[in-house]
Amino acid sequence: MSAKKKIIIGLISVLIAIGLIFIGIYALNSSSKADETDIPTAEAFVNEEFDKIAVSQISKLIAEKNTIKVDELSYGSQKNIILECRIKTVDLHTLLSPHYNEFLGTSPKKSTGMYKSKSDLDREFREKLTALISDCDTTEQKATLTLYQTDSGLRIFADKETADFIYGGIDKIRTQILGKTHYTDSDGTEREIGSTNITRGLVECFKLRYDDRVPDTGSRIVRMWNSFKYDFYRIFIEDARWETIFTGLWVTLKLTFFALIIGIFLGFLVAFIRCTAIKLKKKNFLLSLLDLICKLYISIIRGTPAMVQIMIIYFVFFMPMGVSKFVAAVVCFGLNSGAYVAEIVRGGIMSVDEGQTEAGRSLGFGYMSTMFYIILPQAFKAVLPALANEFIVLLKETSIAFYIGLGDLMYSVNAIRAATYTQFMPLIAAALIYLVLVLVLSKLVSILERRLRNNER
Amino acid sequence: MNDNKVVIKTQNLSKCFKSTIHALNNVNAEIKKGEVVVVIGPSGSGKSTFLRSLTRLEEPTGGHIYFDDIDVTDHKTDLNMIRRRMGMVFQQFNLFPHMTVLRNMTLAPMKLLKMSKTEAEEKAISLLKRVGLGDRANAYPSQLSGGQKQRVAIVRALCMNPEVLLFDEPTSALDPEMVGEVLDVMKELAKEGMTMVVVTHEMGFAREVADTVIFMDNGEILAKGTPEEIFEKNENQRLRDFLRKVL
Repeated sequence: MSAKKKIIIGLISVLIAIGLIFIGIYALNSSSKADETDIPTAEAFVNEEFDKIAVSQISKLIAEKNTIKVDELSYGSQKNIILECRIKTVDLHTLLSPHYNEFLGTSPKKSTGMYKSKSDLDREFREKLTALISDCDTTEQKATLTLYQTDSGLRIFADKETADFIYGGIDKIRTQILGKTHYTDSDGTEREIGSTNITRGLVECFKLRYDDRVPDTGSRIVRMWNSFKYDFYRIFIEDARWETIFTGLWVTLKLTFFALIIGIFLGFLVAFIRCTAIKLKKKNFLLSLLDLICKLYISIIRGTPAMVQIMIIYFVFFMPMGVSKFVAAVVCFGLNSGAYVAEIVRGGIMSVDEGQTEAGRSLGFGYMSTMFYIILPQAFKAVLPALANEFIVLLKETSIAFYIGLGDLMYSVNAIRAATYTQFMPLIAAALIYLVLVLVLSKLVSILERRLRNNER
Repeated sequence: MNDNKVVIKTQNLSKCFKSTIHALNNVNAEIKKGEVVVVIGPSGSGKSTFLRSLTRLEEPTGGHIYFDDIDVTDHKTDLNMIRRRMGMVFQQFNLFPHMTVLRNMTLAPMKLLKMSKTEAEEKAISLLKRVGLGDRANAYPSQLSGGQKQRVAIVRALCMNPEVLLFDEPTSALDPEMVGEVLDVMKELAKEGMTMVVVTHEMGFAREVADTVIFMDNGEILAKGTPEEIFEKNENQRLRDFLRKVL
């Protein structure tokens, strides 16, 4: 009774955990749209926020010069507010290109022959830049900004790109300058830039603070939680990426299921042939041939990596024939697990006492019926733990199907990694999903095992 | 009434392993209908091999076995049909551990004799009651004692209505206090006129129940006769030595 209770409690807690995850996703995803706001408020908000990003003197200078005008305001799904804006900003690239050499050339030794301190150089350089920027005109460009309403107020979805755009391409220039190793001197010769070069100062000047998404208010835990929520939203909820995870999961489950069926069928068949060939006293040509084929099959499958197998099966055979990736994966994993299942089942059949066969045969059962009614049920029970292990391995091994581009769970996770430039959350999510699947699978097997074992002892 | 009809006859039955070791060497025996034949002999004498050869659980390498005038050793003979008619009881019981007692008994009649489930179960229950196990029909073999297992094994064989019952040392794996209950069942069967071939070390049983006792050693039949002839009036030195050791 208590064992049953334990199972029920375990299942309920798993269900509750899954339920909570769903509730979390649901709450984040389907909560109503952002609160009403108007264009002037939004405009003031974005201007203020973008000014905050500027931390260095130069970027503050640019922030003073640029303005964002909001033309249109609309409400997107998931508490998004979409702003169509005209952004007036300094086009730094056009502004600075003619002066590159001038700036780069003011290296400590080349220009004056005297050593200048870094802070002196920085100051000198800042002054030049300040003069340039305050004299220049602004250019106007259209852009779309997205605001997202969180518990702690509105937040701008401004990645580096957007922020950079608003600051006239400041970051691009920074990278460009950092990437430069040579400059052209006033007399036209290419010169190397030293390590204590002015560019370091330049980089300092252009620094922006991008990681301003999480407010610094509240305790460390609150900040962590906010950041987690933000990341979770950005990685899984935005663009309905969680849907791709579930699509992938469904593909993985289907793949495992069909591969399992093929694997069990093939495994039992091969085990049956091999056992018959071993047990049969008289040599039979057909059986020996089948046995040889089975041996060959098992050694090839067990002797090569599954990844190589799936690539050979798909790219060499199935792709030219126009067969789908899913079918290729099912066939590959079916063949693969079949070989392992065959050896497991063969061990199980061989482990059943010879007396059982004799008892069956002496009652008048033929070889096949003895096998079917008497030997296989016992063999199955004996090998169930090993089979369960094999199926767990199979479930996890399907993750290599993404090498042929099949849209399974791992493929979805990789797509998310690529889209969000994050590693931690998508990969941990994949690990958790596989873990839950394996736990559920092994629980099911242990229930089955217990039920079968009730018969004995 | 048909007491003299020969049910099983072996002709120069031989079995050798690796072409040199003779487990059976030109064994000629006859078993008549309703007869209880007890085979005795030291271990390794080939008596079990002889018994198992009768249903070709051991493949003889020479000679012939006739069951009801059918040549069992002929490869064209449907061995499964022969085996249905010859029940076998093993030293290690060989009950199917994954089935209840009832299922153990009804499986073969239902699948092979195409009996209906109720018919097979009725028969099984009545047989179980006869051996005093009427209440254990739904137990699994692992829940039974050795003596109970062997009784179930005997009635399992009886469910197929065999013409001959072969016993391969049916009491050798039992605790001494359980031997009696199994022998009682066998005596009962003998009384009812069942044809039986019993390989055993139970000399008391042989003396009491057997119609014919066969003494085997080194794969050969050395003496054959009524219990009286074998146990009291024998002339064979090896038989005497054997009896002196076991009695």
